[in-house]
Amino acid sequence: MKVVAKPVSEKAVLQSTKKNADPVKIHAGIIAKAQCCVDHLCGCKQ
Amino acid sequence: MGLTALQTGIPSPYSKQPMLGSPGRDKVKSSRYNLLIPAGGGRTVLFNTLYGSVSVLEEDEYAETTAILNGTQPGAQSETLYTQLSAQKHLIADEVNEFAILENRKRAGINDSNTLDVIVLPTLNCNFRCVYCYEDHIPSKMSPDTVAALKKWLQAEIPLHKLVMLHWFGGEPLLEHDTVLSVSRHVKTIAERCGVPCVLHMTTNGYLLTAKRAKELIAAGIRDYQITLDGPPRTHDKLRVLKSGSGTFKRVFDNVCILATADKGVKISLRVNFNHTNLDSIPELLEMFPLPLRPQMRVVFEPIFGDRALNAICNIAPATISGKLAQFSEKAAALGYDIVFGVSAVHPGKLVYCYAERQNQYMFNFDGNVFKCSVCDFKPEHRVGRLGLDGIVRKDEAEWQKWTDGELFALKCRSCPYLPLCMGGCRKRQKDSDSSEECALVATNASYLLKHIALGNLGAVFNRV
Repeated sequence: MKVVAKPVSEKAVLQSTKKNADPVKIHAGIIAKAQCCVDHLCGCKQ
Repeated sequence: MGLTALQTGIPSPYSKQPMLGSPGRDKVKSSRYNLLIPAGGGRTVLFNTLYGSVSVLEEDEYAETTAILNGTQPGAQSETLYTQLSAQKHLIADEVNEFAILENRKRAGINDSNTLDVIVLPTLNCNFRCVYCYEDHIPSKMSPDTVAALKKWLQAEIPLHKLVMLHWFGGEPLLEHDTVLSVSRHVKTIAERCGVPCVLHMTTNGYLLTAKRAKELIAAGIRDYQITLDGPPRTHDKLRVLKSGSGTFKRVFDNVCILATADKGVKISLRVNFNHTNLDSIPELLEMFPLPLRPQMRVVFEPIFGDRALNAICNIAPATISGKLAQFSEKAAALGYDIVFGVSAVHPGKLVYCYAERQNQYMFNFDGNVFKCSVCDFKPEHRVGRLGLDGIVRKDEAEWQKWTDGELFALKCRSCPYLPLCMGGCRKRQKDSDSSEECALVATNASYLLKHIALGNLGAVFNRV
């Protein structure tokens, strides 16, 4: 079995919401995840 | 909507999951969030949607792995495979309540006070008349009193958070250029004074983004933009037109180049809305931008929704869309665009479906009414709160709570193995839908990964592993 991606810890998942979270890391996380359409500010008609 | 990825080893959350193990081992069970996805060449991807782990099984490992995950071969497993599956969290300790993990994530996301997310619509008016637009473009602008109240609210609110995000939306925000500049400078000043990082973003059609304005906006701190080009001129100019019906491609294209050139720190989400009329023209557009600018541009492909005649999903087979998106993403990456796709698009740990579910997210309309979602008619009777001239937001608690409270996940979602990726789907769609059976996961406004799930072709995400 080949490992492509390892599991992420729950601590890492929730870190951005913690009181001791580093603002720079929160910022970096948002940018890393923003492969979607900058959330959903869009022109869709649902 | 079909969610068709091959699954196995995913017991119902309402039944006892099989416990595995042999004497001396802790009791374990299969994670309910394992997906098995055929990857070609006899290989199979084992993807866990909760933990984000991705493993590839060779053909000769498949039978034994599924036997272990399904608990049909207890005591006779390969020790190595068993250990690997445990390390990858495809097998987990029996006492782990995975649904409780998801509930905890969602509560953390809803109540997260570290990030303040503010969206401002300085006008609902627009100089474009895109054929698929859902908004009514009424003449409108923020009054000086509302601008002052917004600034006052921001001044009080920003110091309470660790990161502030300000998004300009509309209508076309650059029709109210002065308001955009004034409020952006205000946010930048307060954030710098408090030591709070800020992200300023604008969704604009780009038509009014001249060199002079680009320079002013960048100086005011707006470095992230979303600008739409629906293919090359022959397709764009039929979909995104001025009020007069004239095409807009050349001017928008030139302005995007000017903006990217003005500051290397500028990031542009180049959005392409597509349907059957322009899907195949996308590669042509990608070839048009000068090579040095492409690393600053992240390409986003979005299917057009709405009327049947224009709707992408109604006119193109979902698997075809998924296949083309994967192909175009690959091409964009090869051409030098900043694009995230394939396995790198798998970001586990989503906390909420979208910002509208967050307590610390506000959408201010030009008239001071507060909303949660941009896909609405912005009628006062649908607001969730109101910005007073004293700079205080008074929430309509009952309306506000429809977005942030209540059941964390609909009953129909609780047994879905994709739940960790969508976190319950679109709240607005759930609120508005009469059907309890309808999946609220939609192929638009979603990440690369979610799009392929919604289109029923998750395999396209893993075709390069």
